[in-house]
Amino acid sequence: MFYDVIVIGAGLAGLMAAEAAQRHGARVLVLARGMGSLPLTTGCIDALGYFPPASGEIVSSPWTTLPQLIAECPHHPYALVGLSKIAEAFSYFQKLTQKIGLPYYGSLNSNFLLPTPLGTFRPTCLVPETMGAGDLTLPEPVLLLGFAGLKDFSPYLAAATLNQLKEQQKIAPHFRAEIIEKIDGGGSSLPIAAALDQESFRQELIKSIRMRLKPAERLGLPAVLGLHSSAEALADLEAQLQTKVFEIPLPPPSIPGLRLQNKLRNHLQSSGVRLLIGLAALLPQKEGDHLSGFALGNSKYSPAYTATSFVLATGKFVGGGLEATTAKIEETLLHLPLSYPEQRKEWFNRNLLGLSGQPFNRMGIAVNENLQPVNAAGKVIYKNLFAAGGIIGHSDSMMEKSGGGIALATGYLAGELAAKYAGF
Amino acid sequence: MKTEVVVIGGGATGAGVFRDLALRGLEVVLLEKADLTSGTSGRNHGLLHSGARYAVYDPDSARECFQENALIKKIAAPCLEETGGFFLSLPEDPPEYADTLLRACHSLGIPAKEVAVADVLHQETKLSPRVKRAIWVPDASVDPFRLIRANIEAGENLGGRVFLHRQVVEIFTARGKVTGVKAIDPRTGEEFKIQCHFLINAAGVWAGEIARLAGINLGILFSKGSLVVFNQRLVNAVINRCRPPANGDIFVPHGPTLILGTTSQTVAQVDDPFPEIEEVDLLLGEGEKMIPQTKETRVIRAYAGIRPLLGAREAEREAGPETPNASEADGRRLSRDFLLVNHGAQDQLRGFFSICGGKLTTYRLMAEKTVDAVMDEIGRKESCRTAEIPLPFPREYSFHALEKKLLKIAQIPSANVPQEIVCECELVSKKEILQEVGKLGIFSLKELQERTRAGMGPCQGGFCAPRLTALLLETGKITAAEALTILKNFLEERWKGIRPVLWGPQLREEQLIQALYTEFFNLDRF
Amino acid sequence: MDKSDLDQCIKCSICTAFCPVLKATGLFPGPKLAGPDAERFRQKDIAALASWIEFCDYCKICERVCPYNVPIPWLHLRSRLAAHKQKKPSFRDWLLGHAYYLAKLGKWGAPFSNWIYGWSFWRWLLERGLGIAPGIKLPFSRGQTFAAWFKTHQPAPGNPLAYFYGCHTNYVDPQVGRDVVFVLEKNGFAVFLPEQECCALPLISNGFADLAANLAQKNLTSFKKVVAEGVEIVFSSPSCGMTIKEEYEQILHISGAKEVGENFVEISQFLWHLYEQGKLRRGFKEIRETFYYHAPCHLRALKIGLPALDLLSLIPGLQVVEIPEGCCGLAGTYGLKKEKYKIANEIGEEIFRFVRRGRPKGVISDCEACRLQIERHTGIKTYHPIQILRQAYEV
Repeated sequence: MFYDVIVIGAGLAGLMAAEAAQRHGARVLVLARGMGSLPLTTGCIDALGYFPPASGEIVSSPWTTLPQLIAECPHHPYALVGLSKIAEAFSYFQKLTQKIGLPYYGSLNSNFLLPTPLGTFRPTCLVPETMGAGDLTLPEPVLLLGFAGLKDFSPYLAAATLNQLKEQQKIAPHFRAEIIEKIDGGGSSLPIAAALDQESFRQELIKSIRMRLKPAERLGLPAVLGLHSSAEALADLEAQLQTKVFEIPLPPPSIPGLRLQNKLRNHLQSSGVRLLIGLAALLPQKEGDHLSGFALGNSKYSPAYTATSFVLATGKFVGGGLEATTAKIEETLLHLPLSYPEQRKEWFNRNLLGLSGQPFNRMGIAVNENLQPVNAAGKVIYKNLFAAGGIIGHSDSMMEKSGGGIALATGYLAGELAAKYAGF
Repeated sequence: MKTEVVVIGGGATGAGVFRDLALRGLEVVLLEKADLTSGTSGRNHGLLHSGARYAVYDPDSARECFQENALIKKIAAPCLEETGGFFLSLPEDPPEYADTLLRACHSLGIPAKEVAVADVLHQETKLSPRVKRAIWVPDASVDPFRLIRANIEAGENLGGRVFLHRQVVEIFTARGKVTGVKAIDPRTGEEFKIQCHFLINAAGVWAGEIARLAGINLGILFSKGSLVVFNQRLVNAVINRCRPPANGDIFVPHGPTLILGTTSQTVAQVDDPFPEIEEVDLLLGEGEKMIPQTKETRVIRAYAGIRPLLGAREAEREAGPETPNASEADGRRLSRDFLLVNHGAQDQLRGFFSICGGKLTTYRLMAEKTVDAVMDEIGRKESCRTAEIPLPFPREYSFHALEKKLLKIAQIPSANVPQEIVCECELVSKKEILQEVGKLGIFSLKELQERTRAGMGPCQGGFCAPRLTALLLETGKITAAEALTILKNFLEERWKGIRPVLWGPQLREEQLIQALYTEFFNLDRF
Repeated sequence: MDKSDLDQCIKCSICTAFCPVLKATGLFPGPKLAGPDAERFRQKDIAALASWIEFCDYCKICERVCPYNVPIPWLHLRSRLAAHKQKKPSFRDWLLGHAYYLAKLGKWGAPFSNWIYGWSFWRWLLERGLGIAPGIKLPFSRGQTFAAWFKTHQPAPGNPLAYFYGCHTNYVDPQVGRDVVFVLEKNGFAVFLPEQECCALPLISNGFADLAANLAQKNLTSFKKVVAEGVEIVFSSPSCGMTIKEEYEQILHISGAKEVGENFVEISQFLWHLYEQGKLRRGFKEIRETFYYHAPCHLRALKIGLPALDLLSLIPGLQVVEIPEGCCGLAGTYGLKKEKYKIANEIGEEIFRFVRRGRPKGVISDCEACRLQIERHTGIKTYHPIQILRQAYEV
């Protein structure tokens, strides 16, 4: 089966690349090993939280700080994409998500400060509308409501930590914590989120909440505001409780991450993009310095998909784009050249959460300004291959808090470049 | 504070002595400078030796192990698993060693018996097909964390008192007799004084330091041993290499995991040992000879412990026949036997005893001998009953009944059902955690981990640590001010053991965990 | 050693997020707990069982969404089968597992199977006593079996090609089989039916590993003969194909199954390959209709892409809309069981709703269980892709 562009990887970078290519009219196929890593993310787009990566100060405006990053780190994916393209990608993302029923607030001009389940806060740039009211610069006090049995959210822990931060004047609002015992939500956030898609369940919940809310209090919930109908769930609760409601993303499986993935996937599919996930084997077919396609297996009947251009968006170790043995690290799909410390003891740092991060998080392939993978001498390896997202090295997105933004921007550009290469 | 006996050290020896003293009717206080089992007792192989391993070179030690092995199986059944063990010869091992081992065991009354290799390979399908000979021995696997805490609980139930975070810094004496100690809380500097008639130094690797407070030199050597933990059990019996003791000789199935050890390296530093990458790779290289599949099996952790060996005093003892596998410097061939020193007789300081060396398997015997000496000094006759009375364990607890854990994965619980699973890797329920939270010394997640196994599975606490922290806060055991520090300390402690095994799936796991803490929690900035 | 096993699980819980059973009921703890988490505790005794293990519907969505394709369903299926060696499955499960197999036993077998599925009094009794779900219509054809029809069918000349038709085609819906033969003969193949038994999946899922292995061995012996002649075997039922290509080796531990499996090709995949070689007979008539297509879970599990969709795109005028990925819920004999009936319906509800909303001309799906389930819940007629192809050749 022939396509114009094949994208490998169904995470944010891959899905954005697919979108960017299809919108220019290219016929796109997405091939992925699993379902993509969006359920492992908060659902927010982190553009740039800290720069330099070890800085203790939060970046208040990514737009203002990005030029400094680009100047100081010429190999950083943001530097390769360039400021105006980054802005274009972000703007496109917001228009797209608005269109598909999952609007995102925010802009590159400033970062939000949002609470976490531990009661710390994190900087982020684009947030789903279900989280916007959690802004920690707003003074209105908050009632944090948990559900009995929802083990990844203790409103008491969150509130206790946040109130300490308030005492240190690091955030504006005061927090109160309660748990709803009666509602049988089940042990994880999935059943509760699915239940909140139902209007009848929401009514019951609202009744329970109403008696607990104090006047002028905002309501903070764990991220369970519906699996498919978060817009309705949010609107419903806010209208009936007459106050602002927000949710806090919990550890994976992350409901906001799942929502974004489902909506993006459905949008892509209805735009004619074919998505094939769950493929354990992808065997590249090459012709010299051109990739021609991928086969799903070795046998003569194994389907082979060919395309004019390709986007590699396979992520780092979690996504399976990189793999480490006791002595070696490899890019798994195409065996592209990687540079990394030879000694295993240099792959990690002494502390898990130290500000110098981990060398293994910075590993990845090298690309040029057209997001084409290059070798150590800077030579392009496959003329029709582009890369996006975590597979690209030269950034510590975990320390910078820039993972989503990098995926978004590089995915957008890579998809565009791949479509252009294919004549679109 | 006043008491009859002060015991220094919250490891196996100290806990054993504590229980024995309490059982014999003495008033006892135990002081531990950090947490229970924070020394060698929390960093060993979890092996209840049959004694076979020492039969050839250390027959006294072997005999003691065998006898204690049977006794511990009686009193501590819930925290051990009667796995049995095999000694396996590979083609490259000295072929006559198997016979030497058998002879030595039989002369000591250890019921080792040769079994058909085909039968062993049939029973344990993951063993190397190159095995030439196999000898069965009554080895067993034990959970040292639970064993030691059971001894502590037993002593507390009889009125004994335990104080953690009390580091003894001064020993008071008067007219050649111990009168008391001064201890400080290393975290705050706060001082504590306790008057006592007897002082037992069971401080393990720090016994030398304690003895020096009284101007006495114990001459303890330190030998570091590293071990690796595999994600999957692979075998159900202890697997020993049938050759003169060397590196990477033993696999011990430990609950759902498999622990391979050890290495042996003389060191000077005793605080917080951790394995080097070279040691990890060495162990894996040796281990795959006996169980080839370990080459591809995920390793979730590596750790190291320090063996306190009685080097100086062993200069006079026979070391046994020389073989090319051991070297003088590696400390493996020095005696694993223990030493009880009555400093009244030895060093003119009455009432002060040091009990050093030994191994986990003989802790109870070491304690018995120590308390016998104390009773002699007092002039009272009370027989030791620690071998007769079973240790206390919660009713549902069973180290070996792995399949029982599957029953915990029941219906997704409805509101507030305490059966909810908090640590999914090790299937630890909220009910179990809450049970332990009521007990001694829950200041750290590590204590919870050692009592329940939460955090000891493949994700090494990555997902359950925040849940555990929340539970400690909600039950009032920790304050909001310390919650994040406690969480971070636990994660960093776990990280120490994960660092040397960062490849394959464990590296992916850690990247995911890092993403969780940096993206969802931003904990690196707090 | 199989590289993808429980070690690869990094506890990301993506599998749990997509498990259709978990969404429908609290009785199943989810793939992560049931699979890699529990597996570490089954190493001492693989037959260690717990009640929740029966609720997996074997859709294999979990292993497909997993970033490392951990074979979660195999992890607990092996345990179930080991346990059932000690504790026999219930009579109900025996009936459901053996129904197809018994139907094979000639004259008296088919009526017996009809008993189970058709006759009211016995149905009533069975529902009450044996826990078979009420109201399921699973009519066994009172007419000729497919195999019997084929015996009377005039063989066409051409390249020899073997066809594994499967029990459902044989006893319940022989029209599918007839359409497959038609399409293959149209493309110059001389179809023949090698000796074959039930693929044994119903026996496997109901706990009868030994009998399943027996049948599997018979099948492989027969297929090996075919393959030795250089002839390939096509199948039209994805679950049968999956079982033979994968489960025979991984679950029943029959060696040599994988090699034979490589010559075992799904029918749409086979025809598409023909097309790519320029050898597919074209000349399709126009079909100006909109159909929906539901890709069966077990077809996705084969990891061969969506060849039916590709094939159907060759028919002029035909609009085929891919129903969003999901499980229809019936899962073979799963949804026939009283305690799982409601769960099965809940699982497929999203698909049914999508179809009801769109009211297409028909729903196409390669799997017979999916066709039954979707037709039952939406009233829309269902077809195997080959049947549309035949229409396009003939219309």
